[in-house]
Amino acid sequence: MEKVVEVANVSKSFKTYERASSGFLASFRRHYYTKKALISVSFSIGRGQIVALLGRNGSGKSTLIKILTGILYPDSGTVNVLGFNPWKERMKLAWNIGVVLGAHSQMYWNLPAYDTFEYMRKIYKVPEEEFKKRLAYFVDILDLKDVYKEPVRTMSLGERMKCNFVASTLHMPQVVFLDEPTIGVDMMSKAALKKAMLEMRAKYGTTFILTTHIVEDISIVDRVLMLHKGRLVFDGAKEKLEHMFGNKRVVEIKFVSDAKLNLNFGKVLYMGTGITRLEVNASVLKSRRFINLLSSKSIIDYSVSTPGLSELLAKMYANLEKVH
Amino acid sequence: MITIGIKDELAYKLDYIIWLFFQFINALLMILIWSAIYLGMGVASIRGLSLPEIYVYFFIIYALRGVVLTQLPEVIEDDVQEGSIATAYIRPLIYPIQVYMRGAAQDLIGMLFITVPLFVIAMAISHVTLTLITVVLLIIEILIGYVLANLIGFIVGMTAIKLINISSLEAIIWSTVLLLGGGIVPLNMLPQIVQQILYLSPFAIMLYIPATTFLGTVSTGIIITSIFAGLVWIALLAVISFIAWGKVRRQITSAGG
Repeated sequence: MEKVVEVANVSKSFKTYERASSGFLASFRRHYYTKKALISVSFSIGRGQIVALLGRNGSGKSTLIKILTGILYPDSGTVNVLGFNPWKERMKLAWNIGVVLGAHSQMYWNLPAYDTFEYMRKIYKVPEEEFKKRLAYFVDILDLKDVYKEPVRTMSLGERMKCNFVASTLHMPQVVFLDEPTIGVDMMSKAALKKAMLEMRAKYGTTFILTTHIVEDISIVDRVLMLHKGRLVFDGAKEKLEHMFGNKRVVEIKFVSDAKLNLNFGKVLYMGTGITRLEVNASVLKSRRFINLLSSKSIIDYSVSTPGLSELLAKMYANLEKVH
Repeated sequence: MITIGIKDELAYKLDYIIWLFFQFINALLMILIWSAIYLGMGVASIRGLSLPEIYVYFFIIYALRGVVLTQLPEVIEDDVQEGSIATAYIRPLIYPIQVYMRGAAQDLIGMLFITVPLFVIAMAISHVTLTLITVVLLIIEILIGYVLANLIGFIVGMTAIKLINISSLEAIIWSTVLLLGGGIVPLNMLPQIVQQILYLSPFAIMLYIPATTFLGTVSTGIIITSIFAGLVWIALLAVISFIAWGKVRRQITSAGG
């Protein structure tokens, strides 16, 4: 597979400060220290992949994206995006990438979204006819027809994010970086953005690199890179992440409230009157004792499910905290 | 970039109209103050400038303020504080050019709605007949003043990358430009030695020289000296801007995190 992003041993530190003490005089006293945002990060991304960059707040995700897009310089290491060094060849790279910064809108706040789109058309020299086709495509897929001619300040956060996405992809870039694009965005808008990404990947081979700390955002990705305190701690398929904790199952059992049952099969997640939820090893489900339990007349109903990715990641973060 | 900048500037039209109205009020207030000075001193002229000429002088000064008091530092400061400097970096545009264009959009509207009308008022109340040479000199002086103001504005704006908040610094710089450029007191009312120094500074060509060229009260020698000095300052400030930008842009961390 053709590589569009290659990162080798990238490190980045920031000099920052904190208040030396509390009280009035604290305003005048600062304790400077160096914060390591990235530590020897290496990976590569192939054309047409949708990759999620996961990590808690402050793990280095946004710093990495900004290095990949040429906004920041690393302290060491090499980066190659579409054959360009992002910070040395920023202008050349900018023609071929799109960037959606969740925290910073590209839209002119007081003007209709269309004005910003028209402005982008001129910056990226998109021919008029092509611009109309692409705009029609995005307006349709992202359901913006009722809002894109209104001032951005009157839009909801979800609508603004969708407009941001359009502004960043109107020139049909080869690689699109999305830095926390779904912060505060409603479910419908998230679904629309995901649909747009999948369609663009299918039709145009666009590569997407998406940073998020929201687990649900990775439902469409092929691959997950996980950062923790500046280090790359996981690089693999989303399914591999799930299989790391895939041995567990959650069993919910509803039973006759005064029944006396032996529910000692695993960790009790919840115990109520006539209902319990257990986390058990998958092998328990095939055990004779468990099967006998479920066959009991005291059992009203039961269900078996896989733990959510949120729970899996919470465990992973907890383990990482112990190690690092 | 200029088109969208103009649209953005005029997004709140009533607020802009009120702001424009008060620029004219400011000009009238300055004229009132100088009327009080002349009447209080009981003189017909001070250092060769009569009261009617002072009126015209300050209408021209306030017209030129729309050219000289550029929005550039504020544009850069806002970008740094909001972190939207990152947005500027992801586009295939050179950041200094982007900010110049955005500042120019705001300045153009100021010129259209303040500079031109005040110049028209000045012409209406003065008895000055503008010759072709005077018009050409005025255009050259105003252009030099505009370029100088933007270079100064850019250098001041770049300090925001380090200092983040530069509103006080901005106020000091523009107050200095106004004071040393003859925006508060005509330079010919200052001691001779101070005048000679200021004619060689970048400030005189921004305000005093165009105003007195219009009035016809400044000598050709001083005009030529100031124009030449202005061009030298443009070259010097351009080099400083270029070098400083090369060093400062690596320090943009407000976008990182």
